[in-house]
Amino acid sequence: MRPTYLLWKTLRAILTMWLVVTFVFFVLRLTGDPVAQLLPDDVDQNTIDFYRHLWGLDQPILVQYWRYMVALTQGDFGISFRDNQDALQLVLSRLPKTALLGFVSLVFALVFGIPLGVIAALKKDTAVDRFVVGFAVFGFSLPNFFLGILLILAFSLHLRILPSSGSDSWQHLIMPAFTLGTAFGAQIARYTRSAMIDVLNKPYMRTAESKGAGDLLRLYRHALPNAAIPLITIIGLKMGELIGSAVITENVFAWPGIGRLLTFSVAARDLAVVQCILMIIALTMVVSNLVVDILYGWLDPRIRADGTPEAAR
Amino acid sequence: MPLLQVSDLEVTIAARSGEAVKPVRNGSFSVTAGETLALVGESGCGKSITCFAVAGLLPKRANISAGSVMLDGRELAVLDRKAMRLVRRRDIAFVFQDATNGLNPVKPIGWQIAEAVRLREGASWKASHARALDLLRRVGMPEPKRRMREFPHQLSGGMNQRAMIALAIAGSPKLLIADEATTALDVTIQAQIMALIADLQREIGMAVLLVTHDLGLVAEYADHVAVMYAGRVVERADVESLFATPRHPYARGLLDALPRVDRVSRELAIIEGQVPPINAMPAGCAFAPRCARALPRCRAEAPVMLGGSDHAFSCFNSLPEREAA
Amino acid sequence: MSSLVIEKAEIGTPRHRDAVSSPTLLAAENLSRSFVYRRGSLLRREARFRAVDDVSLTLREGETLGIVGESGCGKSTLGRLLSGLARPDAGSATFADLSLSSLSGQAWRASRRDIQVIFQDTAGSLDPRLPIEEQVREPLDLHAIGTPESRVQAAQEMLDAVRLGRHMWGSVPGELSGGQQQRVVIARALILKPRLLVCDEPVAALDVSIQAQIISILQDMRSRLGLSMIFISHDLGIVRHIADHVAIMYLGQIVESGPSETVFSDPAHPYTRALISAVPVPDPKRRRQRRLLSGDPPSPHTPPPGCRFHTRCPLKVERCTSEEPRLTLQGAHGVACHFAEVAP
Repeated sequence: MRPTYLLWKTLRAILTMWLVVTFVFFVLRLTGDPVAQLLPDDVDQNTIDFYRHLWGLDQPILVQYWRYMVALTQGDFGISFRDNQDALQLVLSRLPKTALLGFVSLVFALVFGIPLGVIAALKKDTAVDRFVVGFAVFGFSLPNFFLGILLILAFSLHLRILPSSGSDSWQHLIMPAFTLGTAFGAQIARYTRSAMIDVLNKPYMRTAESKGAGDLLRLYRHALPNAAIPLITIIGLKMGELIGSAVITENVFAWPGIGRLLTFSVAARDLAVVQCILMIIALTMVVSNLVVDILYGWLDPRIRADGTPEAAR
Repeated sequence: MPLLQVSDLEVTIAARSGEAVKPVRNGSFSVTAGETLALVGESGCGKSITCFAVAGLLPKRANISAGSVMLDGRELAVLDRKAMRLVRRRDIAFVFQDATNGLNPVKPIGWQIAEAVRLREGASWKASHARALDLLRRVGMPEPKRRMREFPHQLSGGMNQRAMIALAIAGSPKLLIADEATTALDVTIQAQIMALIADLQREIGMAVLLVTHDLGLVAEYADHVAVMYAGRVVERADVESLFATPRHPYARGLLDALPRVDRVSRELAIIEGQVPPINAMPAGCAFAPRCARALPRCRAEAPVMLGGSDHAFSCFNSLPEREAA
Repeated sequence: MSSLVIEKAEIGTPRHRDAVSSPTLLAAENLSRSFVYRRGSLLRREARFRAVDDVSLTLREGETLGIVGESGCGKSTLGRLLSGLARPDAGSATFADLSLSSLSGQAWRASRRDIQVIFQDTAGSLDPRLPIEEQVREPLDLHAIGTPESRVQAAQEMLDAVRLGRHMWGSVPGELSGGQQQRVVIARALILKPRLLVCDEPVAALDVSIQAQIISILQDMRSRLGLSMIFISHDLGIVRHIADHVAIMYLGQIVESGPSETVFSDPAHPYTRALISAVPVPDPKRRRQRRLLSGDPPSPHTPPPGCRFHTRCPLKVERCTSEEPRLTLQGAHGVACHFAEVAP
């Protein structure tokens, strides 16, 4: 069953990607003329037509679409209008920075979020629990840009111990990763808490207790493996939000990743670059969903390898 | 001397609002090694909570607020959680109602039984797995080798209950508490499981505390019976006396309300009304509002246990010992 | 003995009614219904199983038919087919000369007045916000029967009839116990004076003392309204108590049917015998040697060939594994077993 299951998932992923590319392609082209945006206001019509022709923008939109898709299948993502660089190269040169920020934030979020959630669930209805819930609400209701600016004010302008922008050293990473990780970690804490509370009330937890298993054994042998199942799903779904927040965070801290590049490229109507970035973001989400599906099948024996729940016997 | 002697057990649960409720207010009964005591009553009568109290499995907010639980001459009511955990490893095992949900859905059946073996007998994982396979064979699991690797959702309810029993008898406990262990099962499977428990009981010599609402099961498998109503044991007797001459009107009513498969029952007796809510128990006998024999005294004063140690009941206006046919 | 209990229920209808004299109310012929248990896709066929397989039965006016079987035997599906809530894939159900399987929308709605169904899950079938008096009256309002005053009166009479005290009439379902909710459901089902009441495990979730109250109300209403009933249950004791006729189901088929007394006191099918023997009897003096069935019932998705019971049957011979026995009638008593043909 497994190979066909993966084949199916991959086919669906490709279909999703195609829909994203198509949607982005048309939306970008229907919302304004990139040539008018890029060139100075006073250029003559000949120059405009020249660039139109050069970039193929004088063709009917369906022809443009066909050419674009053909080029994509050959790995050609087009040329940046702004600096005539290969769009893919440009984006890939910025990708490691974003990947670093995203990875560090994710690890930070998991390392803090999961234990906090577990502790809150174990100490449900106590002061500890209320503190964690309060922190979680604070963490995810605080907008990223706001927390980012607060941090800059405190640590860069006032205390002068951390750089406010750039990406030259590991110190540069601290505030963006903290900003991005706090919001995500707060959400993870909240979901961990509710998943754990749910699991702790399950009959099999009492069975484990009736065997004479101690608290720690019951936690890591019985509760955590079960709580991980809903948690993995939610974390996978929330990856999209993490990427969205990364765009904002990169701008606040002038972190030279693809989020910052995206902001510039949208402002400049640099179609090929925008498209390339959106594809990479979509690809990240599709891949993270695929990973969740695989993890899910591995964590939960009730989900058969083909992804459908096994029929009740 | 009985293996388990529960006297005047009272359980208190602290409600969120700050007030306390007492789901068990007067539980007294005893079980002798090798024998079966049925704790019988309707939902909410406190029979399950009584068992949780005996095994130290009460939820966080609940505690034993009075009375004593003696197991093999040792007082359990005063033990802390850690000590109770050791008692559960050595002496008391539990079989729960819903085996399919009572087993961990993401762990193989064999592993779950082996874990119990390991905790109770202190064996290595390898030895525990071997012993788990023996136990699965002992409880009559079909294809035990294959089941070791399977998960609860792949097994039928009856097979899961067999696995649960295998897990419970690991370490040969002195007392097995079967809390509505067959209620969720079809009747042909129920018969298999009950026969298995009776068989194991003879083999291991353990006492069985059979918690059930089904008087049929009581009649067929129990040696002694304690009938509970609204948190109290209201009648206690050996099984023949209880079914032949129940002395408490509630016990009598329950027996007469039961439609039977073995004969035509022209009429069912009806106990009107319902059990009073736990936070609004009447001052006197809790059954008085539903009782046709209630006297003015019953509404004012809670009755105490009367009669000898072999047949006791708490009623001011009990039924006569021998009835005219 | 009777002095203890507050009230005794009298059985309203005579047990052994003259079966020939009353007309047939409901007749099912060769009913089958299958369900998908695994969805199909491009790569594989969907898998179906027959929840009800070629079932025929009749219910006479005023009679109560008990349908008994273990979980997964198809008894609830059969109940839905017989009440017109589900359509059969094959066969037909005829209710008072109306074919339930081919009713138009309007005729189907009209048939709802004559056939009412109650289920185990009472909370799910009541509106949690509406006072119970209004819920019981609602069917009359919907069908615009009588004047507003007469509807109120009819609803109140019905609540009295199911022995719900006046102080509860303004309550919403959440304030009532399970047994009281089931009374509301019964009152609402009977307010339209249906001819057939289909009860699917109506007391399975209730305690013994409450169960007896509900059964006695059903019996009482049955005699008062001249109801016919189909009573679906896994509890053989209750079915023996309430039903005139009984049908025993195993894996989608009826394996034995007939008058309750015959089936319970002289069961002919080995499954029926095992089933009755497995029910514990509340009499310690009569502890019996049971006929224990070995193993679990096979999955209804993949029933065994031949006689479906042969995998657990103590009487199994070669023939049972290949040839499916048919339900053969001797008088009113039908048995689907190769041995029943030989044995008297």
